[in-house]
Amino acid sequence: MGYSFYEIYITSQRAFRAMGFPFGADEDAGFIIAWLELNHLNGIKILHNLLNSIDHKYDGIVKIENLNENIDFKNSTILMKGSGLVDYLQSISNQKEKLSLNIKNCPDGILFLPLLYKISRKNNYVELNFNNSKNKISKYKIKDKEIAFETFINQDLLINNEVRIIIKNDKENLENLFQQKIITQKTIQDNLAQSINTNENLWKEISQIANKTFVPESEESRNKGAGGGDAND
Amino acid sequence: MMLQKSASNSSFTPMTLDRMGSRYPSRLSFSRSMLRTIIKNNWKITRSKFDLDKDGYGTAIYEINILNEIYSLVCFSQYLAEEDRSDRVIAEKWDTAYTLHIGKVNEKELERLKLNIPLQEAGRNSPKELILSRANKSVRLFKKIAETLANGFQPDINEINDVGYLLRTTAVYGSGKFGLSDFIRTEASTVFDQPFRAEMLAVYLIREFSVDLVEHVAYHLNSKKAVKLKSSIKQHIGIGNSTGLGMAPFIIKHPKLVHKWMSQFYKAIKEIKSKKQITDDKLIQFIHLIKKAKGYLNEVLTNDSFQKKKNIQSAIDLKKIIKYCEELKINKNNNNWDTILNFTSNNLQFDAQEIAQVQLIELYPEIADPLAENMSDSDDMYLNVNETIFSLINFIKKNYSWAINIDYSKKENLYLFWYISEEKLEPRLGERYNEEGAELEQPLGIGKMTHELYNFLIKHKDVHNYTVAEFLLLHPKFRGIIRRIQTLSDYNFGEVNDNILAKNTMPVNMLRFKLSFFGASRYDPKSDRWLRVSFYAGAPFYSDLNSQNVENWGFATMNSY
Repeated sequence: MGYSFYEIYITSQRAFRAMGFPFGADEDAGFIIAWLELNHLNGIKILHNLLNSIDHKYDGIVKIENLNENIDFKNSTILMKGSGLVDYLQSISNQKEKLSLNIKNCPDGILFLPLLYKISRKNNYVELNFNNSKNKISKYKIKDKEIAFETFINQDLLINNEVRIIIKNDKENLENLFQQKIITQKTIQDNLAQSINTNENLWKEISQIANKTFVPESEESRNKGAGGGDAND
Repeated sequence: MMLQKSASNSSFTPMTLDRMGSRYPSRLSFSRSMLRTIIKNNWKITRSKFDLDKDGYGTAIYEINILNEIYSLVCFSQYLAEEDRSDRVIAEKWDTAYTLHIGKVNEKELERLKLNIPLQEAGRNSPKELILSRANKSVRLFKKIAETLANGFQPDINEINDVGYLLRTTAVYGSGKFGLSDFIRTEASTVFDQPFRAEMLAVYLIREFSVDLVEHVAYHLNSKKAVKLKSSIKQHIGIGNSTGLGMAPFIIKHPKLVHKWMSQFYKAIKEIKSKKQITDDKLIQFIHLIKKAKGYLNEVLTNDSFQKKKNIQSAIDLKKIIKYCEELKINKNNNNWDTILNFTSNNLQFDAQEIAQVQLIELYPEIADPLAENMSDSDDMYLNVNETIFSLINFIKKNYSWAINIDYSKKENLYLFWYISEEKLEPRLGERYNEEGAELEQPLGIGKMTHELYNFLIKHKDVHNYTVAEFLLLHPKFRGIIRRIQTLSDYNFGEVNDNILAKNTMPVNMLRFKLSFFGASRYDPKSDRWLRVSFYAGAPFYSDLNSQNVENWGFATMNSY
């Protein structure tokens, strides 16, 4: 069965809410999952794999003592800590030409991609690197709401579950870096024109979690609701 | 009982619930701009299929040709047992069901739609469908009109005025619901680039179908004597709509959009007020329009005592405007529109003030109409990450006094909670101290959340020098409310300036606000939580629609035709 972007977003957001994510964090996490799913990057599958580690275990606090050192996510998910960190990087990137930050013990680095895509319009260039566990580095290059992708062999650049984010504000011409575009406004519109097909079993499980945010209607609500008491004239 | 505060007793903000509940449709409303677009862009509408049996059950398709594009309103009509007929959103069967589909419908697609559209929420749609809707027949009117026409007579327009419609929609879905096209796609790749334009086209065509359907049934009741509805009577028929709480959270969840609608409205007013002098001709037209609105108020029917009193008071107030304007005309002083609007805001209730504004806008299409074509905005919210907490505190203090000065320890200020119903995933209101489910409350109590944030910030002086980004690293639970407050610092009409959790909240005010921008008329509240309205009452049907009559159907009365 196919779904709209709205349906993937609202169901994911409700699921996060049901799992204890506060207002705002639930919206960001819902957006991450829906955006990845829209762009065929397995948002629902990643969320499903993380359910046990996030259900009623929300901890979005990020402690940064020294930006020159690595940040350690201690295997907490980007769904909880990612949006706060990206906002923080955005706030300090204004003062620098280039910012580079490594995050240790940070599984599912791809979850940063929607957040970085969102802020990319404010920066000249944003880059996301992470070890994809096949001894290869996945590199996503983001500029003007377009994303190019490449992989290369890990040359001791990043250890497993380590993520590197680079933000550049200099005026360097980066057109030559953007040969292999995988996401553009056109691909997004093309994907929106198709229903989003996701694994039904995984979707069902996430929908069931989302359903926990619903409340059975009381008789009083029912009678006061639209059509109540005076339906047939 | 005091119906409303008069404007002279309160500082002006149009975003309080009582003021929002006094709004009327205007030239900027979506039904108005949609109809204008049909004429301006020469949309051609044809009935390409009308395959109904003698009882009116079957399939009809209306095709809309727009330049090189075709859209199709597909209508399904079926038998509905009396026990299944309900306006409630939890109903599972309806007399009629509809979809607005991108392109011409082929046989294969029609089969798919036939299997899904009559099921409504229980069916599935594709991104090729823009709108999903359903409507029930008016028990009071449909059969009566069919029989009257079948006998060769025209119905009495008073009977039509008593009800207002032949069919009454109970939901009009769009924007990604149930698999429909997401609005970000609709906006980018179809002609429906304004909010609710596709919805308004669907509703207009459902109205066409309602008359085609009743005339068809009449013909099959008595093919020898049956007549069609006379244009002058037909035009008074609108399309009914039952609207419940589903619309209220929309206003809280889409504050930038709400701001856009309101700011366009007030841009029009501001520009009109800047005109140095009123011409005699414009003043005469204005008086005529106010008289027309007064006539409408005298005819419109409701059983709701509060609405009745409002309508009576509004009619009295409009009389005062007419008198004031006529005296202005006699005196021939150098008065401008500001003088008249000041008179209304200093002396009259909100409803009359609103009517004066919407009728004034009618006089200046060159100002209003371009604004009506720019009513969209994204829902994106953003943080001002470099703002300091100290600055944020000052902003809240200055702009959210309506929220931070409320005592939430009092039960009456926290009495209600908004939730999503398990039955149909629709927003509902519960009573916190009498009903279960408050722990699953939706985050719509903006006043309360702002109050909590403000008190937290005031108590934690150690964070006052932090930037918002630094603060949120350590206190992510405030992310949603800070993002909202910061975003809306540029959108001064975005926030409802009232505590919508308070016991005395009238949700129907929020519904009326949104419905006014849709262009709904004939407000008939059925409780404080739902109401009936009509769309397009008085508007020309497509076969009669032309550039001369496309704009003059607001506040239509029985003698308007």
